Amino acid sequence: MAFRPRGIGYDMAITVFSPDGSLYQVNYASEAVKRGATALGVKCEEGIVLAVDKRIPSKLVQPESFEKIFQVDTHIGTAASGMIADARQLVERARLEAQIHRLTYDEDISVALLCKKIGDLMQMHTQYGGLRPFGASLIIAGVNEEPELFVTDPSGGYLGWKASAIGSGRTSAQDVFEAEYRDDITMDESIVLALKALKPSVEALVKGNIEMALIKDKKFKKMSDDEVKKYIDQLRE
Amino acid sequence: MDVTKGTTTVALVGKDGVVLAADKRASMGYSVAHKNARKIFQVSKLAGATGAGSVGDIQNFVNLLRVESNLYGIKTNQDLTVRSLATLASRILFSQRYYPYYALFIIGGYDERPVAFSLDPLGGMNEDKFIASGSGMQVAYGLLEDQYKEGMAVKELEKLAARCINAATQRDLATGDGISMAVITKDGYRELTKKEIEEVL
Repeated sequence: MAFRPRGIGYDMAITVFSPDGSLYQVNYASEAVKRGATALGVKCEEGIVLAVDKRIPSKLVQPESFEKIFQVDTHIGTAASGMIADARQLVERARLEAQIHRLTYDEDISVALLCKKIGDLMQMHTQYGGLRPFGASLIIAGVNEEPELFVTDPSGGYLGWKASAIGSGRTSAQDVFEAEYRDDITMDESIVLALKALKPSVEALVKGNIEMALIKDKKFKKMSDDEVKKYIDQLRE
Repeated sequence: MDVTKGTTTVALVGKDGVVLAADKRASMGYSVAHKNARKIFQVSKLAGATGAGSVGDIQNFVNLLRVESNLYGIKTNQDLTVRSLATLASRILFSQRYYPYYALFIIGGYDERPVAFSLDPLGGMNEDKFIASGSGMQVAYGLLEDQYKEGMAVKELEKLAARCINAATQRDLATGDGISMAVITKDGYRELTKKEIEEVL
């Protein structure tokens, strides 16, 4: 690459650094996440609220035929953004790791440990030849002793958050969180806040377009469309 | 495969702790190979194990459990519970089904309450209030079935455990050469000194 302009050609292999120290394929994978539909999570004392924009491509699509929020174990759920097919592979691994932990130690896996395991897998896909990074980010949340919420990125890094969003609506959602999140927020308020943060990036805040799940009393449960609608109406008031 | 040969170990669960006790004889057929063998091991802060069977297998297995326990602590920032430790031990033993560890183990310790688990060479795991294993187990069980009561204090259990090993010493060829004992309470693992054991007797 001696006669090429600086920075050109370093995106051909994932395992080659550019002169300024970045791995272009990893950056491109992050770009895939930035263009994905918005997914977000809010942590409160009672548990976790997860919400995603389903971004239904056509009115002919059956909205209930696909999902972007996945149950990982009884006490852990995840919301995905970016390439959902990639995310599904991560979710499959997460489910497997949760069960392996249960079998090995006879206890619930901790959210932090599960997140680390998924982070390790994502990191591996930035360092080995023949692989490509995952074009997806996950919000991994759950309750062991305390509710915990982590966000992974395609480099394999992750951070713990009180409230966070990924995807195309990240900035606007994060603004809402920064203005309105409180440490003593209730779960009902968290659901409304999640919808409020989702609103700017969603085409229409209507039934069927939003997928939501709660982790309450250490139990993951998807919300029905009717339940979601109840809170959408509450937000409108 | 008769793995019950060579030792007597007991674990007794009480109100505030677990008592592990064993004899000190290591036998090889009809000879006494060692007269001061270690059969009780600390695995983690609040967990201990006893082993009866092949000395090499026991030592290596306990070392493996220590490593797993340390790694778990470092990776998750919390202590491996005794129940999880026993479950893990059972998984490892089962995974070696066709090349098994030639030993019987007892894992005892303190979770929210005192607990003890017996493990057989193929990974069979059972929680119990009192457990005896090794060649002198029948002798020990004879005493325990009559004398053990739930909710006994550690001080009483130390005495009962010592009597178990003593009885086995009298009536089992492969048991003898003294008693070693460890007590696990919520405050930690502690091995009794020679003098303390003499006082118990």
